[in-house]
Amino acid sequence: MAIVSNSIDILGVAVEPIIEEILFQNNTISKALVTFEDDVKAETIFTEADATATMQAWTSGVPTSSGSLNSWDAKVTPEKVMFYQEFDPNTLRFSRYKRSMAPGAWNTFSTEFERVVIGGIYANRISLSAERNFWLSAKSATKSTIAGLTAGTAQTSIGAEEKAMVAASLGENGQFDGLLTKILYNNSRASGTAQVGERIKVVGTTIDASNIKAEYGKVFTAIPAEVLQNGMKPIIYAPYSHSQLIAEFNNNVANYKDAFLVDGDTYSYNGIKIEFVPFPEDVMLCAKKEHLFWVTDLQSDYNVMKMDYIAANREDMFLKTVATEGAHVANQKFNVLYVG
Amino acid sequence: MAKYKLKEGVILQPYGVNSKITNDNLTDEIAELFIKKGKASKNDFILLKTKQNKKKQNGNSK
Repeated sequence: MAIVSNSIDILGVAVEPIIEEILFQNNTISKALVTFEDDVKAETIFTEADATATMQAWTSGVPTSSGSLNSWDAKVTPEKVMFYQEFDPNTLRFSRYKRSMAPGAWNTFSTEFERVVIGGIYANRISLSAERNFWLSAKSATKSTIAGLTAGTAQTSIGAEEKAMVAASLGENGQFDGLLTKILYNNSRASGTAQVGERIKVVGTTIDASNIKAEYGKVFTAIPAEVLQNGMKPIIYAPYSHSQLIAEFNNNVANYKDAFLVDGDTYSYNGIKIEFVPFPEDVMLCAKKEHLFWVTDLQSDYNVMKMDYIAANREDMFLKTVATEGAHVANQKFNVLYVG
Repeated sequence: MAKYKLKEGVILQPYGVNSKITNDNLTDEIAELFIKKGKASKNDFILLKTKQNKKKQNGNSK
């Protein structure tokens, strides 16, 4: 894609700051909201295990084996992806950027453009795309498979709301199955067969400031008690808009204020931390972060952007970022997925 | 044959600005769910009648 520049000749003075579009921060990476599994080149094995212990009557004779010991592997390979575009720096020769080009006809590369647009906005866009795809990506084949499933209310069935949410909201760039897709449909189980995920399904509704406490309550009560009693507490992953809805809820003097505690940028519900991620509206996930994996070869791959002339005899340039990315969900039966 | 079709120009965004339902990914199941849950209005859709329904309606009108 070429540079699209609607510029004017600078006759007077250009306002110094370039007004950049406002972007979300990639909190998933910067705040480490999930578990990063680095150094996964290909086919990394995630092993899960469980067991049942059955107390039985003592006998002096032949005992009967009872209970189970299970362990299974899930093979995960992150998808190799890239961001690539070409541009002609000469396009900017008549713009404000000419001030930051070195003297000489050979030099049309603007350090200001590199700093603000490429290293700033475009690099942020790549980071956000990596985050959005982690949560929302879905291969078209997986979307079709989910669309073909029969919806039902049982935990083992895909929910009607879940199916609709997949059709409307999941896909993004479609290079791999992101985390929400993996939660709904995966082969991370003892049989290795791909089927509906074992998440705890909560049927929701359209969330607004008046019902947000009740809807968070549905998620909270669905959390298995052992999740709250063992180790680190889970996190409620919620759409960005909930920070505003929570503020609206807390502004109402009639509401009980201790349900949602807000301390600066820290939000919680009944003591469970809330983190805002690029989720579709009316969708929430409650899980321990050690159950959610961002699988990649090298996390810092997204920090590397190669920029050079396309060929030695050309003066147009390319930008290229290469990375691997995938999502994996573990301990599925302890994760609560709310879809309205 | 599908019963529901979105009226021309109607795009549903049932899960926020980044969600999209058009006639390409609309199913009857989704249409009925969204009407029931208030994420869409009946007015957003054209209700396509099946041949069987048409026959019945013709019969009733006589």
